[in-house]
Amino acid sequence: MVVTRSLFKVYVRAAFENLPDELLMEILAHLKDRDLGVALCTSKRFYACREAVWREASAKRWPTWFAVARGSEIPWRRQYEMLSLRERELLVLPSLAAIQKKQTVVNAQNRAVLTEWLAEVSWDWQLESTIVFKAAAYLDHYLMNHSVSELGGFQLVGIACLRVAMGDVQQRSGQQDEEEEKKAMDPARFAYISDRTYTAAQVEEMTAVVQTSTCDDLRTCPNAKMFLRSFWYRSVQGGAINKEEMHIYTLASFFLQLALLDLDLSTLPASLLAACALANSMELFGKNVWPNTLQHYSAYTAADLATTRTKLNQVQGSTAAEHIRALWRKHHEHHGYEEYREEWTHALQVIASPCPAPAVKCTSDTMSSSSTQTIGPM
Amino acid sequence: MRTVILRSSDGADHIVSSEAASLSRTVQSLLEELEAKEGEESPLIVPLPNVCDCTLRKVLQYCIQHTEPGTNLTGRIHVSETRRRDLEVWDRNYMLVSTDELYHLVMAAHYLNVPGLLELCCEGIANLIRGKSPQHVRQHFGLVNNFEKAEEEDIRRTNLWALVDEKELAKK
Repeated sequence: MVVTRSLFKVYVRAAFENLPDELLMEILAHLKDRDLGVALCTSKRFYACREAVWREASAKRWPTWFAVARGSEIPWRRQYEMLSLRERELLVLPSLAAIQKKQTVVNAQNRAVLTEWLAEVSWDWQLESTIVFKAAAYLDHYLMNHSVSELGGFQLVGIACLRVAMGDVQQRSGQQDEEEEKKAMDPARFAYISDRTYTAAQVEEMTAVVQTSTCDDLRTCPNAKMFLRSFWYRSVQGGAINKEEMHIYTLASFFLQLALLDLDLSTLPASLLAACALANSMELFGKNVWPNTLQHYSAYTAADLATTRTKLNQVQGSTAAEHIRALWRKHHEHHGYEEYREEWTHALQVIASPCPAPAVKCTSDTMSSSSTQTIGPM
Repeated sequence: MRTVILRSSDGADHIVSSEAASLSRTVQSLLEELEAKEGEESPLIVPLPNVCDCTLRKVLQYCIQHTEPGTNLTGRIHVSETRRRDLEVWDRNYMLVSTDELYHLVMAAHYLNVPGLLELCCEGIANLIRGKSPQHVRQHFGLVNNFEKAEEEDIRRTNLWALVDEKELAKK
């Protein structure tokens, strides 16, 4: 009896692999995001039905969006991920009012100077390009919760935010040489770039403060640069853009870099900024501004983008940001493909100095079924 | 109230009210057939060849609990707030079973078609998956990692979010 019981157990344990299809679907329907991804990665059988599962899950979680986009050919996991990230970013959106209420000394101008400097440091140190976006997000959250009492201490906060952001990215990639990593994070190195305004101990201390004021949701939150990459990849896949038209991508990244310096824009969802940057860049090069592929994928309609696109154009047309513009021009002068020489020249002109752009008119092909209604996650 | 006899795969009989038995839609339709054939007077015996005694006992606990006074057949309508809360607590305790038992229970709930129980079991299994890494889930459910090397590499590359926190989880 004892023997059969244990044999029985072995048989039973293996049986989860053989759950009937409908039962498996039922169980998976209870999971979302990372947990669903994990469940699908556990065995061949589960993995085989992943696209159907992601489709079901998307349909159930975002019915309004699904009603509009269901017909198009969609890589469902990526789609689910996109919409889920759009929900997640809303959890940690900085509030402009809260920042203004908390800060008496530091204003939007000071923030612009600091973020431009952080962007310069990122170039100098050749940091992964999302890091400065993360650092700026940490900065805005710090500003919501802590009052900066004197301007002299503001740069220290920025340095600490950059250091925390670098640490987080390193931890995630987790493949770097430990020695290198340690050297890159040395507080003395951060003190040095402030022209020794601060000591290594001060940097260490402020890092700890920033660390406690950034919650997990914020640290794992996607940033505008990540969204831009996803949108770019999707529009290449969907045939809206040729992958060699890198001038479009470069200019869109540049717009995001400028948006980073602007406090008002920085309190908008990163996905919205990325969408607007790409749309503005495409418009500059005479492309279909916001093709259906992107409307479906991003769940932003052309109408959703209009206001922010105009604002982004204004910022682009009025931000001097000489240091950043010079850096970008220098770095991109010799890039680009020969057949797009003209486009590169145009992109470099926009990068070189502010050039006024017209307000955005929303006339492009808006999705017929929901031209006035928002379909994205709320 | 009418009683019926449910017979498990290993031949054990369970006497329950037809009300409780009918929470299973499978049993309910079998009962209707039997009644039409045998008439209302004869004892109703429903054989359930797919459910072992031990599991059937557990399923019936659920059915009886969910047909107590104050609940109607579907177990949803006309339930007072206190009763609903009591049931929730009861359900939570009811779910404190081993993974093997849970597997049998979900299969039985599926075969017997008891919607409430099926929902409860699926949520229970989902709960065992939440917050774990793929390797932990495999261990827990006795799944074998049967991916080929190349496939696994592909998963690692394209399903980043499934792997992101593995380091953190390993620490716990």
